[in-house]
Parts: sequence; structure tokens; C-alpha cells
Amino acid sequence: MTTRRPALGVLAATLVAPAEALACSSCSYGTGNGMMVYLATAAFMGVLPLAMVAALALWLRRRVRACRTEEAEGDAVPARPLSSVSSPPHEAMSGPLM
Amino acid sequence: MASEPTVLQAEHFPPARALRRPVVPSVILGTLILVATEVMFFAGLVSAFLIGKAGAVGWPPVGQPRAPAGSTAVNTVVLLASGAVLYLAERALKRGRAPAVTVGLVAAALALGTAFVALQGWEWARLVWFGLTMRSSSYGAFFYLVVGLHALHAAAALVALAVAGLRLSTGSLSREAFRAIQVFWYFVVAVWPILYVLVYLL
Repeated sequence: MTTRRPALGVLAATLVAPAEALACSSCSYGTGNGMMVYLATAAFMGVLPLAMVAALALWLRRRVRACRTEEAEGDAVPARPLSSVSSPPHEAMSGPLM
Repeated sequence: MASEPTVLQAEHFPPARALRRPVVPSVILGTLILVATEVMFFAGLVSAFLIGKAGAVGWPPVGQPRAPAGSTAVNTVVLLASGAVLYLAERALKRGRAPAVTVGLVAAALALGTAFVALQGWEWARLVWFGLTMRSSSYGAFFYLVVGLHALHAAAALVALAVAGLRLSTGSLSREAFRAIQVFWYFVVAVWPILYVLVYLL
């Protein structure tokens, strides 16, 4: 609540006097070259973090798949069936764990 | 008469899973995140440099010496060579070569990196002598800011590399830690050619 009024004031000033927003010496150089370089670098700075996050996410996805493949190969050895237990067949099916 | 309980043997259960290793070792993931933040840091500096240069009437300004592109080209080759030697060190470690080989290669990479930083410092001293300082012009300010921060990163990476070499010689360095230090050194090496082209050549 204490920051809402100043923020609304800034927004109102921006809407009422947009020309003053061009007072930034970087954004509004007299030469067109400066403006073009500013726009190009602003676009680059916007795209770069997204590209890095996407690259990291893709790389992690590949690593997860590789790890899952390794774990699946490790679990591929089957357990021996219960019938191989050396006890009478009717008792093998009625133990405390069944 | 109660029947004897079935005693399950170990072979009736699936093979015990080994303790799961992380997808990416924490030290490597942390280094990658650090590198990402440093990439954004240098991108911001380069953006500011390019905008400042685009708005200037002359670049470099009148009366200011040009950055020494020729000698720095040699220095760039030295830095790239240090990256290649560190790659060879990693290959030697992976192939199980004698520890002395790996330590020697790391020491060579460290020497090349130190030579790069030392030569940069020598060039700076000459530029200051010829009148290019941080306060002489925006060109000087940007030059020392961008190149100086890279040198700072290189110096920090050299310290890490020296520690890695020492721990390798005693056999107390894990492969993940070595890979993390490698990643940071590769970042320092990879970002330099971009800075060289933008600051020294264009």
C-alpha cells in the first residue's frame, strides 16, 4: 500500500508526458546508429538468457535420459521365481509374506 | 502343526540398486550457473560498450592511443593454447595416464594462462604511459572496465587451476571438481576472442 501511490504517480507521468522518457542518453542518441545499436543490444540481452536456459534444459534432459537408460540396464537382471525356494509347493504359496 | 514359514533368499529379490548418482554433479551444475551469470554480466558490459561507441563522434577519440591489436593477437593465441592444453589434461585423466602427465599438462595450462594475464598487465602499463586511463575518455573507461574484468576472472580461474594442480599431484582431486574448474577456464578462454574483436579490432 505504501508503494502503490508513488508507482501510480510514475505510471501517470509516463502516460501524460511520454516525450520525457526519451531523456535517456543511451536510448535517444541524436544519431540513428546509436538507436539501432541500442535496439539490437536490447534484443540480444533479452534473447541470450532464454537461449542459455533452453540449452541447459535440453542438456539436462539428455543427461536424465542417459541416466534412466543406465538404470534400466542395471535393473534388467530378473529375480529368481519364488518356486525355486526349496520347500513343498503348498507351503511356498502360504508363507507369512503372501 | 504350523507350517514352517517360507524363508526368502536374496536371489529372489531384484538386484539391489546402487546408490543413485546425481544426473549432474552439484559442483558442475553450480559452475554452469555461475558461468551463465557471468555471460550475462559480460553481455551487459559489451552492450554498454557498443552503445557508447555508436554514439561517439570518433573511436578511439582524438588524442587517445589505439589498443595494441597485434601484440594482443599473440596473447590471444597464448590463451587459446592454454585451453587446448587443459583439454589434453582432461583426456589424459580420463584415459588413466600417469598422474605426472596430467599434472604436467595442468601446470602448462597454468603457465600459459599466467603469461596471458602478465602480458595484458604489461600492455596496460604501456597504454597508461601513452595516456589511456579510465578517466582520459569513455574509450579508456570502457577498455579498462571490460578487459580488466576479464583479467580478474582469468586471475580467479588461475588460482582455481593452481589449487587443482596441487590436489591432482596429491591424488585428492575428484573428477567432478576438475571438470568444474575446466568449465570455468573454458568460459574465460571462450569469452576473450569476442572481447578482443569488439574492443581491439572494431
